[in-house]
Amino acid sequence: MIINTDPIIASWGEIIGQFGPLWSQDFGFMFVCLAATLGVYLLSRKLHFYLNQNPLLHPLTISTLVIGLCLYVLPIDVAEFKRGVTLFELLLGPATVALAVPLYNQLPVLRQLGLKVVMPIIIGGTIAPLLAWLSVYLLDTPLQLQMTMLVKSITTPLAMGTADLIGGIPELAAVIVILTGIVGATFAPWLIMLTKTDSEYAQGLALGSVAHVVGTSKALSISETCGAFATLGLCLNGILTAVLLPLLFA
Amino acid sequence: MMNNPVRGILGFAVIFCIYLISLFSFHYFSIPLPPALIGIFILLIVLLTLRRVPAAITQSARPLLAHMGLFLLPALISVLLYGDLFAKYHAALFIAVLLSTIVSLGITLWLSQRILLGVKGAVRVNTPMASSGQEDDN
Repeated sequence: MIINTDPIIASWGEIIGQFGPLWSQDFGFMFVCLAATLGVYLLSRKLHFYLNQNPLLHPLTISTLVIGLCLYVLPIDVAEFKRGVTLFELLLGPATVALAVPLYNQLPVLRQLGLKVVMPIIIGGTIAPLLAWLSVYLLDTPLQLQMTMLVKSITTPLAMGTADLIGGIPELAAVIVILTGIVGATFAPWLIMLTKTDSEYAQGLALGSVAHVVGTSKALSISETCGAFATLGLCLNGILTAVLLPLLFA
Repeated sequence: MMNNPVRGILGFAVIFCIYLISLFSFHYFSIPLPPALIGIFILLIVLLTLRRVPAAITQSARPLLAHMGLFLLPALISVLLYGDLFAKYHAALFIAVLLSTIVSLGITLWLSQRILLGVKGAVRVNTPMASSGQEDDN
């Protein structure tokens, strides 16, 4: 039997190209970039815990602002810096794969409640992107931006991959997703009071499916149960959206 | 559970290999799904086959999930490259992100409450990963 090896070699070529910046650049510069990013990240995390985990002071907001300011002041090109921190970017893939573990741990809940947990997730996962898309559509923005909006309430790594497939901008998706999470977590206590939602299950599912991981950490601060339901909402909505959108638009 | 570095590294190697397999199948079979999602499905199938989460996987998944924020920073920073897009459409972005999120979270909360009426306290909840693994970020 003859196997055509060309597509196999081409596929590996693509993957190696993705990892390329790891060995094709100045190691000193790479090390400085990685260490600086890690330092800023750890410090902003400390600050976030110290200030009672206020969602407005999310570690990612602070880190992005600090690093952005440094890059603005220092004579370093943004693209060059991004090459320097390729290692962290590449670890996002395995970290996303690890989401299967919490999902597996929540499967018994899904088996027990079935549609009653799936329905709120589908509702949240449909309304949020539709409303966001409608507002950017009515305000006459480019198609790229509209496509990016559709992934706004799923977890960032899946949002970036999906945005790439449906013609959005992955980097913009990351920012919009994080901001959505912060808005959701900030207004959640107030909305819970307003809608008189006293079921912890409902709170968790809504937070996880609309405000992804930032919402999930908010849910965990309400209770363990609420956090578990938020995890389920986060994983299921992420998977459903990431499967459906490319089928519809790619 | 004891923290064993060898086990953690082994778990990471397994997860990384799964990711490589999913990247390869993404390119080779042109699957229209984000590569990481293919990886989630592969790991989920492995866990369902084993009927438990091996300690090595839990131990490496926990830090990866807890520090996902660090791995997102490169993408967030490169948004500086799209500064003019933000400046041009700031009103649309503001409405889409702030207002639509608040409205949809409110509607979802209200509807979920109605759907889940009466199922309180009936469920035994598993929280090993949710409590310690994902406290922060992303």
